[in-house]
Amino acid sequence: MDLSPRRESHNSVVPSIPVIIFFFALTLVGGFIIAQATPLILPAQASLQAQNTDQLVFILLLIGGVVFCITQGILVYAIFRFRARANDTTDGVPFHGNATLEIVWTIIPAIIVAVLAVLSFNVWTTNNTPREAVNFVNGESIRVMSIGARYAFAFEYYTNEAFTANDGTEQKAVLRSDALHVYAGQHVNVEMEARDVIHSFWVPAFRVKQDLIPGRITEVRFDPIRTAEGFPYRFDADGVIQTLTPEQARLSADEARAQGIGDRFTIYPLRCTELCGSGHGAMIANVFVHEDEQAYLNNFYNPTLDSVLNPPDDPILQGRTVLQAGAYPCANCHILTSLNWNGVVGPTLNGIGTRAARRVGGRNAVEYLVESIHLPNEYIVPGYAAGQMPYFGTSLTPPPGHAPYNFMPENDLIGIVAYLCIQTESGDPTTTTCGFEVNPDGTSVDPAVTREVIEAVTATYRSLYGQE
Amino acid sequence: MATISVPIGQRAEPQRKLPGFAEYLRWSVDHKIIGVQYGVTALLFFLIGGALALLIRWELLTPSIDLMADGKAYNQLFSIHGTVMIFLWIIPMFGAVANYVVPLQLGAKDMAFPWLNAFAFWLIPPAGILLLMGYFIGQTEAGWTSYPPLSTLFSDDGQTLWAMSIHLLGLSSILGSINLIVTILNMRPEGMSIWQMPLLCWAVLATSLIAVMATPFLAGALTLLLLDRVGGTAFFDPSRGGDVLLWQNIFWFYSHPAVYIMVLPGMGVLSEVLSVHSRKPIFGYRMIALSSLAIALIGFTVWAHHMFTSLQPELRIPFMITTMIIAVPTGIKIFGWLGTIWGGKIRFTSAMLFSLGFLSMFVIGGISGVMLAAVPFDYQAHDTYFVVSHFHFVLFGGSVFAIYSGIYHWYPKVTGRLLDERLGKLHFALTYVSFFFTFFPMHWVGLLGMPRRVAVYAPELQGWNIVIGIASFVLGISTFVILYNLVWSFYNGKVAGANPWRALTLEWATTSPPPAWNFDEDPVPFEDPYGYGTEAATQYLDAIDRTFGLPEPSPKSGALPRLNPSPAVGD
Repeated sequence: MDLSPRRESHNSVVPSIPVIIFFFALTLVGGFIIAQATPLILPAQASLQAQNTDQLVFILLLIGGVVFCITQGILVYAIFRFRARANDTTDGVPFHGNATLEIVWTIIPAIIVAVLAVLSFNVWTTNNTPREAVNFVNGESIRVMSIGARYAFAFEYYTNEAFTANDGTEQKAVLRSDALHVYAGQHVNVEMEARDVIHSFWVPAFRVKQDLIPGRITEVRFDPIRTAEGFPYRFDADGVIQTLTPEQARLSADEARAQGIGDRFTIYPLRCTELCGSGHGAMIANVFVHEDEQAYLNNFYNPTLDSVLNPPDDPILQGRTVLQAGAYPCANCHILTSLNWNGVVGPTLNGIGTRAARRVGGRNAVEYLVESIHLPNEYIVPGYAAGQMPYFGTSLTPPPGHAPYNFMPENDLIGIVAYLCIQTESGDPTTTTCGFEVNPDGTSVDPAVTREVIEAVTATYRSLYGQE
Repeated sequence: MATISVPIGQRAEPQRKLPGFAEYLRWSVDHKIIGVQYGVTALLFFLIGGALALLIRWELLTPSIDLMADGKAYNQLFSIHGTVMIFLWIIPMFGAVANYVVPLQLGAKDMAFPWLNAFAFWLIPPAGILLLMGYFIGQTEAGWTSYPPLSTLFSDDGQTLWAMSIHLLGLSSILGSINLIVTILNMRPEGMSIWQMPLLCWAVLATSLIAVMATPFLAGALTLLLLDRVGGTAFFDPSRGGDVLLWQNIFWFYSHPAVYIMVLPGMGVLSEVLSVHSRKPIFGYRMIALSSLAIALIGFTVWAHHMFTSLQPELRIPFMITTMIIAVPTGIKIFGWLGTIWGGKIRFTSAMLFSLGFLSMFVIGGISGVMLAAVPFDYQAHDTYFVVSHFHFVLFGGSVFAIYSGIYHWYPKVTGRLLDERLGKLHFALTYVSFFFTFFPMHWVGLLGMPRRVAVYAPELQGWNIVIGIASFVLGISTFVILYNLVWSFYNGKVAGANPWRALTLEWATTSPPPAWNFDEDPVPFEDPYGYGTEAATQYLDAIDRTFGLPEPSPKSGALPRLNPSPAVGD
């Protein structure tokens, strides 16, 4: 019996050398065309890291595109060329392989991935090299922390400015913000910690991502740059963000200042990319890239430092400052119209200064508000889920057996409660049910009384935290 | 005249009957019944997982939460979708293929341990029920990866049931794999060396080795998670000396190899289908067989590429290198399959279409996989829709296409009837196009700034999400085409006969459906399971037709046209 191939010979299906060369040339062109998509599939290129990474993406797309064209090209060609014609009942050509070909398609992919590994390693090294003078402000480096807590990012800037705290000790001022402020040309190094679950710090425009991990300090480095679009925003005289025309945005810093539109900035979103619970999708913060150090100082650093060094006496105003700065992750879960909060995970805080007194029997308004922050699961507003709000405690670490919580200094707690007290249903702060008098403009009649009324309640929790 | 091996057998009843319906609902040690039990159970969970996926896409038609009550309900959707699709659809479905086909391909009467086989299957239904019961006590919302501390300190009791359920499924997987390894290594018939074994058996062998080695690590991680949740321990609680990255390391040490558990059997299916339906020997048999083992081995060294944004920075580069290396054996398979259809006589059956669809779509998943391995690129793509796109190209464009292909290929053997080819082609066209438009745009949606697992996203990305949503609804509808086909053809399909595709592997050398112990007499394997195109193969196939008979042409449409009609019937 003849076991040799029938009807069609082996050679009839082997393409000629010129055809092979032509085919690979075509796939190279195809890969090059695909790689042109690089800028279309990536957001603005706003850091040195983004520039380096995008060069790598171009190469990845080029090689990926060539591989795509080779495999799909062979596949489509084979499907047409080797389709069984109607009534053709014969079998294909019985060849079982080709050692040379198999070695070639093992070695060449191995070389390609080796090249890709070297290129990636180079970009990774360049992007992560430690730099001199990180977080340079006023001629000195400062420490910048990002704190992730469900469901907001907070940022702390450890300045070198000394001041005398309430308790009489000499301290370095810490600025707090719900946004990350940097300036173009700054070598930024953000240290990160997570207060509850794992979060992740991703600024798509910078091409950097790093997880915030409970129990560890992690860090991320990037160098914001000026993009072709320039800086499209600035604050007007009332501190409201004003959008500039594209021409104004593209002016140089000196030209812009000469035209009276100085201290511009641009804003990029920062998103949490590690699932952290029900509010994960809305865990977004803004990154302000100021056009230069002077704009950074004028727009952010100096005014914030001033509010820390010269705090208002009135707990209500202190509370508003703390909440506005986004030092605690309230905004992403609660509605509070006076601060433009629109979270939906938790109950609304509009009108809480009226409702607080009648929420739980035997608790007056201040007692209810303090308990709701210290031990939020003691009373759950109907229609909302337990376990969503983090606990806040007034000592640095929880006492043994206590659920993990976020640290909230007692002074901050007093201020926050005072501010919530004036969020009345009628909108008239004087109708607060908290037991202290308030002026129609929302300030305390006597700041000392306000503090005394609230501290009487917060003091009862000190024993819980072993402070007495 | 060369020696021709022919299967020896009595001419059997032309149409054998399937066991009664009730047999499939109770404990049986027949691997064919267990295979069907695996398959039907998995299909039911596929429908559940698919429904959840469509709810996800419905929610994502708008950039804010509106369909679901809150973010928690949304998180439960994708957590259960992922868990069901991985542990209750793809893995058990390939369990179905392996259980049904492997003993037949080996000419064996059953698996090595029939009782253990049944036990492994019966762990699955209670595990599935346990998982879904979570909805009554606060369903898990930590994703299928269940990273602590979200899954320990911040989750409801559904998370505990989730862990118990996966524990049972892992046990089932280990027991099933041990059975398959023993069966494949010990029960080959006389005349079939390990180098003459069908490539599906090679793929299942590699898969089972991975499952046996890796799944105990998953069990360990789940045990720690359960202890943290109900036993008061603090393995993952950093405030009490634990470490949250411990889970990620152990979990991915299982779950990355599990990716290959989910795709290697599909590659085995592809090797069968591409060769049979293009009437040509497999190209580079040994390389394809050995690359399965290489993937299994290297697969154990790449797990931390899932942790490029959490791992210590200095450890990221070594894992990038191993991850890129694993592309090489995968490439060998792809080129081997292209070489297989090259020079063949391709018949565009539904089974073949889905295998060709796998070839084209899986390559895209492979390319995006190499891109993700590059650490600087991964910083942009990690935990975004780019990754969602990547693993759906691998798991849907790869595994599910292979499952569909396998269903069209082996359904005639299981039921004795062919699936309707016109419905099959409609199913393929709908699935292929809608799959592509569901998952391809996700690449740039992710890179442009949409993280995965969010119900709230940037409004400027809504346009693409609507495109994806519409495509996904078509994809959902396409599933009902094959479901209808499965039921309709069971009663009305063309009678298949023993060997409708004229394939050389042994599962076709018996009646469809096979008798209780598979073969009336011990079958004699052909010397080369893919030796199409030779006179010897034609004679062997003709001998099968003579032994088992060809189906009577049906009055309506006639039987399948026969290929290689025997020149002379006799001796």
